[in-house]
Amino acid sequence: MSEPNVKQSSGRKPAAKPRKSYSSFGQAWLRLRVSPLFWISVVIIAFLLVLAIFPSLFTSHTPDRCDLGDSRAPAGGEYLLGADLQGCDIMANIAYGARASLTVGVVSSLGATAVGVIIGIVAAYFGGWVDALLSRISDVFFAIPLILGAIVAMQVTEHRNVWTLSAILIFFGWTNTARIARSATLEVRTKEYIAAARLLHVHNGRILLTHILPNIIAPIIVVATIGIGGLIAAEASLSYLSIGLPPNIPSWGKAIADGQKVLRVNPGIMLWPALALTLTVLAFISLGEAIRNAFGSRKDSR
Amino acid sequence: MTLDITNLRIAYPHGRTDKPAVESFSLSVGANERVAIVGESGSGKSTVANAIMGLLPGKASVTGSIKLDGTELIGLPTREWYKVRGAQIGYVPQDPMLSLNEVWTIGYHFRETIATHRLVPHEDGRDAWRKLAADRLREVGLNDAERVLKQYPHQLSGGMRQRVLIALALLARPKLIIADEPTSALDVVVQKQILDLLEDLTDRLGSSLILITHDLGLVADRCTRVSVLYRGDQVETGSIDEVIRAPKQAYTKHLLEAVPKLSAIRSRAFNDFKDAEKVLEIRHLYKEYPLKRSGWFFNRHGASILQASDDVNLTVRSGECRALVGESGSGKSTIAKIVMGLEKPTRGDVIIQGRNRWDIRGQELDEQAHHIQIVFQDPYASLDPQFTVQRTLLEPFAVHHRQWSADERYERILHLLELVGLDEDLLGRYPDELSGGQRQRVAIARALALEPEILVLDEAVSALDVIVRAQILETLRDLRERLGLSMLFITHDLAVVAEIADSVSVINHGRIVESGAVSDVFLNPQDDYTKELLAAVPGRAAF
Repeated sequence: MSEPNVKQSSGRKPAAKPRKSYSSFGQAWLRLRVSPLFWISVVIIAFLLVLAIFPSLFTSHTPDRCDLGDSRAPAGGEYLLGADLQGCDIMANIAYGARASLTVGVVSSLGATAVGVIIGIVAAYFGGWVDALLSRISDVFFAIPLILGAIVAMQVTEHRNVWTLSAILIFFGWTNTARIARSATLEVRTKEYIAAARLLHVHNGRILLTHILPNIIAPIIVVATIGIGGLIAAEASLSYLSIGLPPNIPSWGKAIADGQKVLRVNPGIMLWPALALTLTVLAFISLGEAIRNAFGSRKDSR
Repeated sequence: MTLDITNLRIAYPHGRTDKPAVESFSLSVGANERVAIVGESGSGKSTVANAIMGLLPGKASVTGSIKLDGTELIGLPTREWYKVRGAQIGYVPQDPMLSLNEVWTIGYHFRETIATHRLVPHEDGRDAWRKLAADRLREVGLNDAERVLKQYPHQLSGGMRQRVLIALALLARPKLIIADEPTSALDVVVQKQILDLLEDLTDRLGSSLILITHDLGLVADRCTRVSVLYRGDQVETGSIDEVIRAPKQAYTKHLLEAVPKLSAIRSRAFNDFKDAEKVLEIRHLYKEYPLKRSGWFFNRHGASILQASDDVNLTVRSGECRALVGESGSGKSTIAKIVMGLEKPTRGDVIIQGRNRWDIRGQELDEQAHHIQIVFQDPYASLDPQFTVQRTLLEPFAVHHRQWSADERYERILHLLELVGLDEDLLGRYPDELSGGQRQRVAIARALALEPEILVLDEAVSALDVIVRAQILETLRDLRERLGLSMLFITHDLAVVAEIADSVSVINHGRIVESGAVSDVFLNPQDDYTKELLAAVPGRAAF
């Protein structure tokens, strides 16, 4: 009577019309598809990607070929946004800097998420001494400030480049994800569908991959997306302090540090890279927020 | 006091369906009358209660009339409501575990209500409320009133909390009391005590009672009139005798048939399993839980223990359905977990198909999955929300029958669906698109996938509405017949036991107090606890 699709009662009710079923990810996508915040951030990020991959579309200059004679050249004319102190094209600095920023942000966020999820799930699922050990280790890392840890590590690194910087940010940046993954797993682990799978003798690896991971991944996707913004900011901070990327790799942080000296006379030299950085970080945070909303308003299952 | 509801219609403008939540509902309640509103979940019965108390969300559109002693309650300004709610209408909520504020003492709850309704004259002094509160707590049977007033909600049991809530509802001596499923969260013995108390108090104070429930058994025992709701429509209304003994509408008849009845034992055929082979045997089972203590680096096990079961013996024979009956906290779920191997007993043996569960190692453990499977209580937690029905049902084969082709597996799934009475077009659905009953059928199908001989059902029908429950019980009976399943049926509901089980073991505080054939135990109980449980089953007199 109250279950239209049970055969016993189907004689009394017309058959339910077929409808499309969506997983929780499908439902989230349906909501994401109509979210203005999502599309705004996607457009900004897409523009940044085009900028980073095809800088020649926006400028005919490269950041390593500078003409000191054009130092502080005004915007317009040969230089779209003007030239900096060394006479380098600001637009070229921003475009090539986007490469470094996006690479470091995406690579280190993906890496930190992978490490954090593995450690968090393993700790929570197996519990006992495994959990105690992994949780104490992550407590230790949690106590180290990301920027301070990265400064010290970069100082002793011989080859400073995008990859070593990402590796160091992963090394100090995985703890937050590990905590979220651990607590989400602790909750999911007690659900009866996990017990049911264990009683069917589904082995642990399969339970972790097919039952636990998909059920905890939503908040982690959100944190990872917002994390890209945070790590881009971290890279810029380190490069600003000139201990991030080496001088031959263009970076927004470095451009900000250079432009700062002439802020009063030529504010554009600092403001354009600062704007690029702010907009990028904001775009990733908004994207994360939009994803969070899409998952958050998930149809209540009760 | 009279309450007159005429032609009440409640609709939510942007609801999931166009159908109003409640439509053309009429009911009148006279002085000192007990009236029941009965319906399944989603029938609109709580919506009616909220309408009477003016607690509907602002977006609800309400038409019709609700008159309390001639005063129209629909559209009453908020200021006026304060003189009605609590003062003229008292409310006893469903879940006593959620309805008291955990950070305040019981005394604070009383003081707040007494101050709001100015029940104690100002000149009586600052502590006068305490005397009134204590008196009222004694009235609801909490004789240690002074101490209870100083306690916090978490220090009280569910039954005591519900008594506190009743005392609070009756503080201002309202003429009408609305009790919304007041006992559905409580054990059967406590349920009876609470309902007796409500009945006794309303009688003594001359108040009227509106009892909202899904349980026709409760209604038959205690109310004079009843109104049956189905999906917002008032299906039938009348005196108890008319509705329960001679229902006119098909739905009411259906509902009455679905109520599990103790009297089923008299009409049922019982098979004798005395000579059948033992498929599951629990011997001298003892389980204690060491209470965890926070350590310096690791958590340590402390010296204190919590005893969950004590020297439990239980046998399920081939083809038999053995019920294990007990209240919450009796240790019955612990036994289920131990039988399934999810927990280890402190002492004792669990023998499945002649082999001790704890002697089995390695590869052979895989075979265990083919012997015994379980269906859990909560159909909302037992299916992975990310898995479609098809994926859930395929999982056992992906692990155990890897040599099967995709077609063979699909054939097998169709067979499982047929066994539990589900349509093929549900295969692509996710759990949140299924009803509670459909989910439970999927869970049963999954448990049957590996063709186990023994099925453990841990409160498997307790979370379901009465009609769905009857349908699932029917399916389980059918499965026993077709597959020759043996069952360990764990429940708190004796009427359900009477409907399905062959033999029963009654467990109290971790001990089996009585065991035997259902007909023997129910018709001629020996142990006092069993007698108490049987006396508490609602609807005894009527059915």
